[in-house]
Amino acid sequence: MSGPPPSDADLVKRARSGSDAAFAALVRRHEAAVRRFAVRILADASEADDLAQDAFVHAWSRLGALRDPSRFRSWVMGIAYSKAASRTRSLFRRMRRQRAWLDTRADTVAATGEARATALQLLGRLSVDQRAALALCDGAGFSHGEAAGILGQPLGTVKSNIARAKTRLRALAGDDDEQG
Amino acid sequence: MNKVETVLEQVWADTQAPLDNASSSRSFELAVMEKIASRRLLLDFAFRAVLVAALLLTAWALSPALSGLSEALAVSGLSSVLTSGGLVLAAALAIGAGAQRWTGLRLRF
Repeated sequence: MSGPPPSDADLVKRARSGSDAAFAALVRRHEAAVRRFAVRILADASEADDLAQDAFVHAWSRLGALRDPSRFRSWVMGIAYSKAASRTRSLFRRMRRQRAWLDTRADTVAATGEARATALQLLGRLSVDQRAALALCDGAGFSHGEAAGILGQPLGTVKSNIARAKTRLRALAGDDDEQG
Repeated sequence: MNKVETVLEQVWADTQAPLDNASSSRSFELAVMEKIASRRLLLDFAFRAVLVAALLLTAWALSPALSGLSEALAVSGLSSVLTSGGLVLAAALAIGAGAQRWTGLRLRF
């Protein structure tokens, strides 16, 4: 009879000792959450898996730096955020070229309510910090404090990023409701 | 419900499950482990190169002291070479182990 599944802390300990099987188990356990987060902070599904894979590989190489092994998932998400922020800087010029087209699409959303096709594109109009804060707190159910820990930002910054993100989305979606 | 909430719910729903064109969980895991294997191979090669360099540098730096030690221990010839070689190897391995611990890498030799 098999016992309870090993905790993240146990798997991290084994992985630190050189066990690839333990690290693979960590990847298996957390890949969905990290990939989901990657899609949301990049607002680009085509590059999200690559980013998530890089985050796990980076985590493997720096496993010794993880202070609290039970927080492995949050730690990898923090790594994914750092990598996304770097990538976004290099993608910035490309995104600016798409701006005119996105403006057109945002108008269309307001007019037709065709949210499904462009929801991710609207998210892409936010800054990576705003997307990350929103994805963690609104999308994944983390508290503001937990998100601040993952992103390595002050609590106030996370809260203001969420507020600004919602204001920006409201403007982009042509929302004329007055709710906050 | 306002449009912002609608947009966000749509985004979270669309990205909740792996996207249609995304690889499966298994292939994602395999891709990660393949990248790790490649990284390990590269680091392993670099680490061995550093170790050899450390060995040579240590031998060069310690050669005067080792000559003196051999004389003090009254060993000569092959014994002297073996003693010096052993000390150099031990020093280089100590440097390597320290570097390995510092970088947090777990390489197999």
